[in-house]
Amino acid sequence: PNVKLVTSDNEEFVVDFRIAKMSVTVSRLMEAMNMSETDDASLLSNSIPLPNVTKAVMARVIEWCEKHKNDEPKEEKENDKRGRTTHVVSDWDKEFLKNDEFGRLCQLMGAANYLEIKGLFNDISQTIANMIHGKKSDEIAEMFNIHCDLTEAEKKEIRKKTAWCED
Amino acid sequence: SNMGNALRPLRSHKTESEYNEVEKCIMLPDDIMLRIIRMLGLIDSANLAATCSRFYCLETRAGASNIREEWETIEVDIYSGIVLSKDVKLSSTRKRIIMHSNSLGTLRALRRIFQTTAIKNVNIKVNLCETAQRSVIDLIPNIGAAETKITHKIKEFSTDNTVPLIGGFKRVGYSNLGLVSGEMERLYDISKSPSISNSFFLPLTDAVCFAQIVMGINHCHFYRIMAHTMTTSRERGKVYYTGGTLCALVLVDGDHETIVYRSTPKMAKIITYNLRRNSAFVRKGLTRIPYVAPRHQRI
Repeated sequence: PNVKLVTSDNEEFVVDFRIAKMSVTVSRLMEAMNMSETDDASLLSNSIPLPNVTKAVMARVIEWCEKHKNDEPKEEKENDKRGRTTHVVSDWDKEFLKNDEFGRLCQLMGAANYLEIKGLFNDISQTIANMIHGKKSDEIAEMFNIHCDLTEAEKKEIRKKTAWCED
Repeated sequence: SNMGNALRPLRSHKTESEYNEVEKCIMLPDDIMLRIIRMLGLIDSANLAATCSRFYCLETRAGASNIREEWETIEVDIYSGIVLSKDVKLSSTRKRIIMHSNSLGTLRALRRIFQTTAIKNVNIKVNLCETAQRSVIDLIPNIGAAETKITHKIKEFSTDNTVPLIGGFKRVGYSNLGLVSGEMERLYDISKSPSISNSFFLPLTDAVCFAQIVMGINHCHFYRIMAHTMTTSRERGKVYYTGGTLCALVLVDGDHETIVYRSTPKMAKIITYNLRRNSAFVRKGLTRIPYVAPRHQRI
C-alpha cells in the first residue's frame, strides 16, 4: 500500500506505507486520520499534509528512507568515555550527505526533526558535528554565517574560560 | 516500483538552481544545536562557544545538562612546584574521565566543572604549596557538592607557620590541611559568602585555629582534658543548650557566625564547665580581644 504525502509547495509524493511509518510524525497523523495498512480506501482518499517540508527536501528524505527501510531498529548508545554522544554514520550515509552544502544539511535536519526520523536526524547531527570538528571560531562562524555579537572583552573572557581544554 | 514513485517528483521537479536556493544563514533551533554540541569534543565546543552569544549560552547549557545527574565524584591531586601538573578525574557509576592538564588548565577546568555540573562528592588533595592552597580555597564558592573533602597530601605535615586542621565537617571537610595563616583568613572570608555560610561548620579541633588566628580571640584553647583551662569570650560567642546540655558554641564575627559542633556529650560538659569556671577571667580578658573585621571591610 502507498501513502500520499503533500509538501508545503503542494507537491504530492506517493510512498510505500513502510517508508511513511519511518516518520513518527507521519505515523501519528495517519493514526489520527484512521489510515491503516489494510484499508486501501483510507489510504487512497487521504493525503498527509507536511507544511514544514519542501518538495526538494522531501525528496532527499525519501531517498534516505528508501535505503534504510529494512534496517533493524538501533539501540541507543551510551556516551563515550569523554562524555560525548556518538553516532556512527555508515558509508552509504556519508556518501549520501557529502555533497550537501551546510545550509542544505540544515534544511534536511530541520525536516528530519519535524518528521521525527531519528536515524536521519542522527546522521545529519553527526555530519554537522564532523564539519565543525577542527575548525577555529571564525571558520565556524563563517560556516553558520553568523555575525559575532560578542565584544572583545566577552571574547577574551570566553577564551579565558575555555582555555583549559586547549592545554 | 514504490521507489520509482517516490523519486519521480524529485527527478521531475528538481532543478539545480531551485535546489541550491538555500538560505545561507540557517538558524538551527536550540534543541537541534544542543544535540550537535553534545557530539562535539571539548575544543570544538569551546570554539563554537566563541562564535556568538547564542552558541556560548547553548554550549554552557549543553555542558550542564549533559553531565548533570551523572557525575558522582571528582578527584583532584594538586602538587607543588612551578607547574602543578596533575590530573582531574571525574567519575560516575558508568564512566571515568581523566583530564590531563597543566596548572592553570587544571584550575580552569575545575572551576568550569563546578560551574556547569552537579557532582555529589568532591575530593581534593593538596599539599602545602601556598599557590595550591589559594587556588583550592578560591574554588570553594563554586563547589556545590553534597560532600566536599579537602585533604593534605602529607598526613603528618606541620610547621610553625601552619595551622593544622584535623577532622571534617558536613559539607566542606578539611583534613590536616596545614593551611598557612594567610590562607586560613582567606578560607574564613570565603566561608562567609551566602552560598556556603549556612553550611559551614567547624569541628571543635578546628575552632581553636579560627578563634585565635582568624577571629583574634586570644588564649582560646579547647582541650579534651577537663583539667585544662579554656578561655573564650561570651561576647564573641553564643552557647546553645539542648535539654541542659551544650550542643553548640557559635563564634561571632560581625554578622558572621561560625558554629562549633558538639562532637560528644562529654565535650559539651567540658565546654560548659570551662565556660563557667573561667567566666571571670574571660570578662577581664575581653578588653584585650581585638575585633577582626571581614576582609572586605579592612583598610
